[in-house]
Amino acid sequence: MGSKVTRIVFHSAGFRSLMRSQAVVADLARRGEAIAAAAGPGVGSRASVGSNRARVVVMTETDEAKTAEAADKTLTRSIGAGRG
Amino acid sequence: MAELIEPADGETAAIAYLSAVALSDPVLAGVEVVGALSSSSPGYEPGPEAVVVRLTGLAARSLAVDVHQITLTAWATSREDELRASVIFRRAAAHLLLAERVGFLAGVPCSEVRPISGYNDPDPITGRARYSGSFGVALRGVVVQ
Repeated sequence: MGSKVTRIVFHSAGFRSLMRSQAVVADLARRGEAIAAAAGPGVGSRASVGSNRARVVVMTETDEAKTAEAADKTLTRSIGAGRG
Repeated sequence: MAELIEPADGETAAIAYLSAVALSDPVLAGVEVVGALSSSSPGYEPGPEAVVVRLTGLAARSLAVDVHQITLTAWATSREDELRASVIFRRAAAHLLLAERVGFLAGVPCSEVRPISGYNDPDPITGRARYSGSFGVALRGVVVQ
């Protein structure tokens, strides 16, 4: 009895379009802002769209915030705020 | 009756596990493994060489399993000792990753250890060389009732 092979053809352009969509940018921006807010003053976030996908960066922007992260991992501890 | 399951104490388990392996690994000889003491705590300064273990996040994966974000900070003795800090960090990280294959972290069932980050992280207060990194460690919760 011959076996039937299921072929999956990925629609790469569709994936890329979805990952660069405004909905994904907005979701990432919301998560980035939540992490930055949890990390405290001097931490900011910036969402952008790359060639293949949207991304968000959360970063320390002041010397005080950099020191707080280096001493107490204030930003590292806040990553969970971006869940959900 | 349904079981009451609480998250395991991931930080204590990681400290116990790394403390035990440090005793038998020549690369980690003399390295203290300590808990969530902040480098800015009054009067606190890690020993000559240390790995500070901190729980920096926690998320439920399922009813029984939680992913603990464990952050390791490996301290060397001086500002110039970056290579030693890197060696301590990488060895401690390797032991932590091994817990997935062993299946346990200090007696707590461990199903996954996923590296998240690793970076040169000199202490802003003392200037001592450090390397830090975080790991997602999936641990089974504890049935308490």
